[in-house]
This record gives sequence, C-alpha cells and structure tokens, in this order.
Amino acid sequence: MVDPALPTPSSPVVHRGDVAGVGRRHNPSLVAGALLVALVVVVALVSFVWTPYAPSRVDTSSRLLGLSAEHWLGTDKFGRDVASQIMVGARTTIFVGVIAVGVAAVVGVPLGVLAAMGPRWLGQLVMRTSDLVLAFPALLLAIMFGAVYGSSTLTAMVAIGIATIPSFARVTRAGALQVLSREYVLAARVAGRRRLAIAVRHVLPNVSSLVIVQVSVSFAIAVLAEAALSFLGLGTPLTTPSWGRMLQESQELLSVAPRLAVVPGVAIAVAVLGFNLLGDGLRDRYDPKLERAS
Amino acid sequence: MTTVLTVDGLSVHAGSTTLVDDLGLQIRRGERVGLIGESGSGKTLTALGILGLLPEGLAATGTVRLAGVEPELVGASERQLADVRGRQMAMVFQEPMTALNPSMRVGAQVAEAITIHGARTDREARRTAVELLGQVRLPDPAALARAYPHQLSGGQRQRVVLAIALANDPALLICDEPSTALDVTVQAQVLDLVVSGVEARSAALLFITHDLAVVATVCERVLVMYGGRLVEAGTVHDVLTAPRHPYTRGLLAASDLERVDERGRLMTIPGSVPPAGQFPAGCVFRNRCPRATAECETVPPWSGRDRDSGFACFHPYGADEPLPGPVAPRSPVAAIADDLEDTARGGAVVSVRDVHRTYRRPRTSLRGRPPVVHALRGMDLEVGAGERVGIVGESGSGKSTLLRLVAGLEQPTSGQISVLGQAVSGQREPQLRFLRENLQLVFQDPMSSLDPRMRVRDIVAEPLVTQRHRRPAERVREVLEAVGLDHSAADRYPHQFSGGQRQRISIARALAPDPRILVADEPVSALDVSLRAQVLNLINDLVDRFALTLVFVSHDLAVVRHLCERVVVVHEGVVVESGPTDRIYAAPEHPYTRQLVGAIPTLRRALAGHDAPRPEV
Repeated sequence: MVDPALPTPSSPVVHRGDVAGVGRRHNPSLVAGALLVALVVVVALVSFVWTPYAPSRVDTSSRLLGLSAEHWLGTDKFGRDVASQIMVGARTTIFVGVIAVGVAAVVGVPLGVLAAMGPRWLGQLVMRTSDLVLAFPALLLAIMFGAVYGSSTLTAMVAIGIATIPSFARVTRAGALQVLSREYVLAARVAGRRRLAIAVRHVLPNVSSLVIVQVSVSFAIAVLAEAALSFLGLGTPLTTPSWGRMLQESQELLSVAPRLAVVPGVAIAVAVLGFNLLGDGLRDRYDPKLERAS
Repeated sequence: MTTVLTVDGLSVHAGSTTLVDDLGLQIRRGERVGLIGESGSGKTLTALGILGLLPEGLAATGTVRLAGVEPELVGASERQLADVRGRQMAMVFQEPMTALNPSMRVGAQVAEAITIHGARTDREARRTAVELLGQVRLPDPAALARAYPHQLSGGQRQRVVLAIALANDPALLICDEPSTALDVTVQAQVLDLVVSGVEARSAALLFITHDLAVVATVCERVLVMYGGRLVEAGTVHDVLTAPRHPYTRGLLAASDLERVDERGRLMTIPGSVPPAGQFPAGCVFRNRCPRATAECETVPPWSGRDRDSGFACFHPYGADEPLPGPVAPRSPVAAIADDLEDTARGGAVVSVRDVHRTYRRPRTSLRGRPPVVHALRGMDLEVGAGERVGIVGESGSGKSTLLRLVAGLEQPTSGQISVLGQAVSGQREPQLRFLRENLQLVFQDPMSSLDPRMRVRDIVAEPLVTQRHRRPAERVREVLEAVGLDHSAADRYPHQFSGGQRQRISIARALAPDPRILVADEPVSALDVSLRAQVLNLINDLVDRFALTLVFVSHDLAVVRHLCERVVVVHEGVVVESGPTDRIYAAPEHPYTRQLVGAIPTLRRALAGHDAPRPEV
C-alpha cells in the first residue's frame, strides 16, 4: 500500500562526483601504473614458454657483448643473455611481491581489525607489538632469517612480509576505527549482528580500498627489498636469475660495461614505479568514496 | 540609499551543466536580504560566485559590482579579489568547526584579518581584535583571545568567525547558514549578533538559510531560489504571507508544522529537489508543480520591474489566495493527550530508573585522576505502550546517551533500564534478543547510517537475518513499499539515493523485524523542509499503521510537538520537565524549558514583528 500523497522516488540520484563532469574514469596514474605492472607480468608469463636463450646458458665465446640483434640487451661476463635473464628475473620479482605482501596482508589485516574491535588491552598489545617490529629494519630481519633458516628467496620474503605486517595492521586499524564510528555499525548492532559478522560484513568491505592501496605500495617495497638482499648476496640463490643479483654482479664491471647495471636497474625502476603509480591511482579512485561516506 | 551590491546575469557553470542561471539582485546600504531555498538550489554557489571563491571546475559569468570597487568582480584577477575580500566584503560560513585554524589562537586570527588589509601595527591589531571579540559579546575577551578554537564551544567559535568577518567594517556581509549547526538558544544569540553587527556598520547583509523562520527574524527582504534560478523576491512580509510562486507556497506550507490538512498530515511538496543538471527545461519547478501546464516548458519571464520584487511563473497564485490547508489550532495528537498527565498510559514498555552514565576522558596530566564527564545524572523515564514520547534537549544534554542505553548498545554506570518488562541494563548481548526483535532505531544522519558497500536489499534485511526470518526477501519488499519506495530500489546502493530517500531506507530497516518500539534519533534534522514534512508524515503514518510505541529524540520542540503527545525535556543529564506536549509548549514551567521555547524562531512570531519594530531576541 503506497500512500498516494507520498512521492514515488523512482529515479536514483546521480552522486556528486559525477555532476561536476570531471570524470573519475580518467585517472592517468592508474592507467600508467596498470600498464607498467602489466608489462612486468606479461614478460614474466612469456618467460615460462619462451626466452631468446636459456637464461643460464654460459657461452664464453660471447662475453660482454653489446646490444645486437642476437642479444638485444647484450651478454654478461659469462656470456649469458641479459634479456633472457631479465625475463626470468621478472618471475622472481612477482613471486617475491606476492609472498611478502601476502604474508603481510593475511596476518596484518585481521590483526588490525582485532586491534580496533577487540578489548582495549588487546588493541594496545597489538599496536605496541607492531611498534616494536616497526623499529626493526626489514633488511636486518631478513638477514637474521637468512642466517637461521638459510638464505633463499622464500625465507627472505617471509621476513620482509613479517616486517610489513605492522603497516597493514596500522592502516587497517585506522580504517576500521573510522568505520566503527559510523551509524551503520550501530544499526547492525541494533539488528542483532555479532562482532564477527560486523567485522566481516561491514568493517572489511569498507577498509578494503585502504588495504588495496597498502598492497600496491608494499609490493613495490618488497621488490626493492629483494633486489637489495640479492645485491648483498642474501636473497635469491645463485641458480635463479634475479634483478637484484644481476645488479650485484655488474658491480665489478661498472666501468667496463655500465649497461649491465643499467638494464636491471631500469627493470627494477619500472616495476617499482608501476606499483607505486598503481597504488596512487587506486587511492585516488577509492578515497573519494570513503570521503563521501563521512 | 546607495546600492552596495549589484549582481547581473550571474551564472555558474560546471562544464555544460548550469548550476546558477542568470541571477540578478541588488542590496543597498544597511539592507538585510535573505536568500532561501532547499539544498541543491544554488544558494551557496551564488554566494561563492559573488565572492569569487568558486571551487575549481566551476566558472562564473555575468557581472558583480560592489560600490566603490573597480573593476567588476567576476572578471577580476585573484589579486584584486583578495584585496576586496575581507575588507569590502566578508563571509561567515556554516560550520564554525572548520572555519577557524585549529593551531592558531583566536585573537591572532582576528588580528590577522585586520593586518592583512590595514597598515596598523601588530599591537594595535591585537587590541582591536580583543575589542571585536567583546563586541560579539564573548565573556572576558582579553582572556578568550588567547584560547585555541578547540577550547571554545560551537556558539563561541561562530562569534569569533563573525568578529573576523566584521573586523574591517565590510560594506557587505554574506552569511551562509551561520546558525544551522548550533543549538536553538545559541542560534538566537548568534542571529542577534549578526543583525546588530551589520546595523552598527550600516553594512549590507546577504543571509543564506533554508529556515524561513530565521529569515523572517533577520531579514527585511527575501529572495527565493530553486534550481539555480530566482523564482520569487519581495519583502519578507509579502513573500512569506502571500507568496505568489507555487514553490514558495509549497516551501512555506511544508515548513509550518502547525499547518496540517484534514487528515492531520503536514503539507509537502511532491518529489524532491533533482540533482544539478537534471532540472526540467523551461520552468525549473514544473515537474513538482501542481499548476504546471504545457506553457511552462518555456522559461517564465520575471514579473517585476526590477529584481527587488516579483516572481517567475505563468500561473501565480493571487496575493489574496490563502495558503492551503486550515491552520490546526493544535497538533493532531492533542486530543488524545488531553486526559494524560505525566504518567504513562498502560503498562510501561520502556522504563529507565535513576540511571547515571559517566565517561572517563583520557588523562590530561600524570598526576590527578582522568577527568570524568557525567552524561546522565539520575535519569528517569517511563514510556507506556502505544505512547508517542518526544525527548527534547540541546547537544550535550545526554539524550543520545539515553538512547544508546535503552537500545542496549552501552551499559549504564548505575541504575536500571528495562524494556517490555525485561532488564536491558547489565545484560550481555545473547540475552538481548528480545530487545533486537522489539526495539529498532532510526538514525540522524542518512549518509552514515547506511553501509555504502551494501545493496539496499541487504541493508534492510540485516535485522531479519539475525532473527532467521523465514522469507526475508518478501519482508524487504513489504517494508520498502510501506515507506514509499519502489521495490527496484532493493538492488541499488545507498549513494544512488537522495537524503530523504535514504532516510526512508533507514526507516524500512527499522521496521523490517516488525518491532513494537521505534526509537528515532533526530531523524529529520539533516533534511530540508519539504523532505522533513514527507518523512514526518511517513513516521506518523507508520506509527499508526503498525501500532508502534514511538520515542522521538529531537532538539526541535516544534517537530516533537507535531508528532508526540508527551514531551520530556532533558538538560544536563536529567529530566527537567515532562508532560503533555501542548501544555509544555504553551505554559512551560521549568526555567530551562521556558528558555528553550522562547528561543525557537517561529515564522508566526517573526512575521508578527515585521510590521511593528523588530523584537529583541
């Protein structure tokens, strides 16, 4: 029974952001970031089926060659093809990012929600512990892990992941506290929702945009950390190509063949820039929505 | 009298969308002009356009001339504008919380406004600042000048903002809803200060508000805006007693909570204000207008000879045509309230006994105890079955705390609360299932009370899920229909709806589990008058239809008077007065209630004062 005197509000209102005509769709940093990241992903995928040469094929007759049609990016001091190594190294980079960020997000996000919603002492405990972990340089933690468990890409990345947990916990807690002050959370409680249901149905979806941004930023940090660890000889083992170690090996030949340092350096820069731009773009895309909810 | 401000053909565009369309107005020295209309009508953009403060992406065309200022302001450079702003024209914004710099002492902020434009020394500016703070009647201005904004109350902050605006004796003062965010008693004082400040300087005032009673209290002349156009203008007395344009009439009827039709319903304007760029071509009001014809598809011409008075309508009402609907001498629920005194009818469904609630603030020093805030200090309340009780109080009175306690969202520090004969206080969530089934809340802010990431269907079904309702989808459709929403609304997200529609969704959610008690926390205070009337009518109907007990919290005594038979006045955490609404409204006993009733700006009272000299507020 609809009262005739009541209007039937049938046409939904277009929300504010669209009115001004300045589209949210056109977001240069999002597009550029996505393209750069896509480039890295595609190169890594292609390397599974095809590389110009086997990346670890040593050919002493063709050492330190410059750029040419046979070797696009030249060869290193063992005559290995740099282009092939870069392609396979992209895999390591992505693997590293996924593991490190995965560990950080899977542990950090629930911790953050717990810190926001749990009893006061628990929240304090979580936050103070994360302060403690934050005070520890990530690389130092990775070096310790490497010393205890043997250096491998996995241990290094788990260590980086653990060191990144506090950032996720903090971001999530801050977002969750904001969400918890909204009246829809009160409404959910009045509706009889339990804490867990509120956390899953209301808090998590509404902090997801913050977490996405944190993921992309951490991804870039993890890639850099892996490069740094490999450069120090503590990350990826010798048999697996890695951009970081390519950089390390180029060191002694810096004056003879600077190209060997430039190529992996550019690759790292592209990946990091890509993830950072993607993160910025995603933040721009999602933050106004968060603003509007306030 | 000399003209201070002349605006001609002012338009504001965002890309191809026109937000303000061909607006013209003039204000003379010492004249107080009101600009009224609902949100989305372009009032604020007009003010910002005059000041040259339009946000990025918006562009103004037309001319804005300020007496004695060259060049014309729309085409002026930012540098020229900056020189004029704060000196010849100043603005007071709505939100006193954000208008001041939180990291600067308020005295320094007033002094800054002086030194920017004047050649006076810092010391002199500071002395003038203290003087100005005294003029806006802040107690102990010398001490207060050293305070930071967060140490002041909302009303005090707004006085500081006003002092800054008046610092350089501007020829034009623009106020954008300066009192909307304030409590009624404080509102009256601030309005009085605006008027006296302007009068003392013979400045021109452009006063933006959506509240007709406020405009009648403050202004002499009024401009009515809708859809970015001026639809009517004239003296306050003419426009507000004999409006010619159908929109003005609708606005006037909807804002009068004593004017009801034979069914006891408030007058409404059908529909709601469309979003910018979606107003119909021709007359912008024609899709909501009862008199619209094919002729209205062209833009109606302005009737007056100048922009001071006239209207833009092909089918105006006559100046002597009465407003629709008889003026009810009393609210529709008054009759049943007659045999009621303070006691609740029937058994009490909500009972609050001697409840205290204190909050501990964070420590401010290492020594000494953390400060304690007493939100409730011995609150007593009884609500009978089927009763409609209004709880009235200003911010900080403890009314929201009371609601949270009754809804079992928080625990009282001491005292007993029971609902439907079962204890609520001291119970854990699993024991409160009866409460969740029988008592539901409607919240104040329709923006924050709906989860932006959930579809309306899931929002409304939320209380049903926890109660394992057998056919939630069906129930959702039922309640959406009951609140006047199409069932296609179920698939949309909250941001796709306007404020009034969102409040309907919120009400639908509260009704979903078929509760016996509906608790509403200021459900209409964030809404425009025409939507307010619609939502109040809706609540009125639903309470009748589902035989609900209503607890309605508001700072607005007039709204409570319309809806409730009994009112409880809350002040500083205790009940100061309680009784039938009409008795309290007509003959308040407690001094605080008297102050509260006296402070409410009512259109009738304000208009009565318009022929006679303006009464002191």
